[in-house]
Amino acid sequence: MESNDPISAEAVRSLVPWRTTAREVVEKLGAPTEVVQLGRRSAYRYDASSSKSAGLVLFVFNMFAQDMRTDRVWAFFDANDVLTHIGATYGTHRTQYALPWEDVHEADDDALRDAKRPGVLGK
Amino acid sequence: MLHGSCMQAAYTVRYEDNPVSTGVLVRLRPGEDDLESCLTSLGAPHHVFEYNYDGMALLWHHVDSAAWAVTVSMNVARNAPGARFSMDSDSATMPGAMLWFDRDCRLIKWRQGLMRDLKPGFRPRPADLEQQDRDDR
Repeated sequence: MESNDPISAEAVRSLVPWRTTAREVVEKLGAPTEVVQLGRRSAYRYDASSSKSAGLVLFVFNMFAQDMRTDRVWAFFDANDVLTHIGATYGTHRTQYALPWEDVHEADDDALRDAKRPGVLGK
Repeated sequence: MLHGSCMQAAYTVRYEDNPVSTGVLVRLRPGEDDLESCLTSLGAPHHVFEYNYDGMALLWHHVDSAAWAVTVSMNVARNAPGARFSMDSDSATMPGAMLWFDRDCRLIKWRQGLMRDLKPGFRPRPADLEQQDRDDR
């Protein structure tokens, strides 16, 4: 199950603090999911999520596991709508089918998946 | 007299995002680290709140929960209504971390805990256009 398309890491990397404006951020990333007012400054949130569920049905005893990961990007703007900071986390490509006894947080597995997603490792 | 009964048990686990690393948090230095270094270390937060008008608070959280559910159903007598009993044991919690920043985006403090303890009192507000007009003048 997914909500929103995964965020383009390459588009996010093209944003330059103290140069990119809010208008340019919206042109590249689209409409934000949320806008938060921070005094005279503001922050835009972009997000997407992906979840995978697996189950073992033995009728009397059943087991289920759900793994959900999100892409999150927060863009912070000053009072003149110029980008000052940007934070990004990419997780939708790490979602996996797993049963309750399986570890879904293995660093090696995450690193392999990161390498396959353009822009996440700075390529 | 029991004419038929059924018992089912289900074990469900749920993961949502990776936990915030305690090792990274303890290396943060209030007064020295700023928004940029914290975003680099921790990635993007799940929520951002206004704090003391021109400051901000950033919240990260994750889910790592396990729950048992037991369902028992039975017919107690012919032509009598069936009975059904179910029980849930849910250990779901949503741990997280919150970081507070001042107007210069310098880290003031950080806390780890459950979301229900970290989040109270923070509520996004709409832009106060009249206040902005007064500031502009």
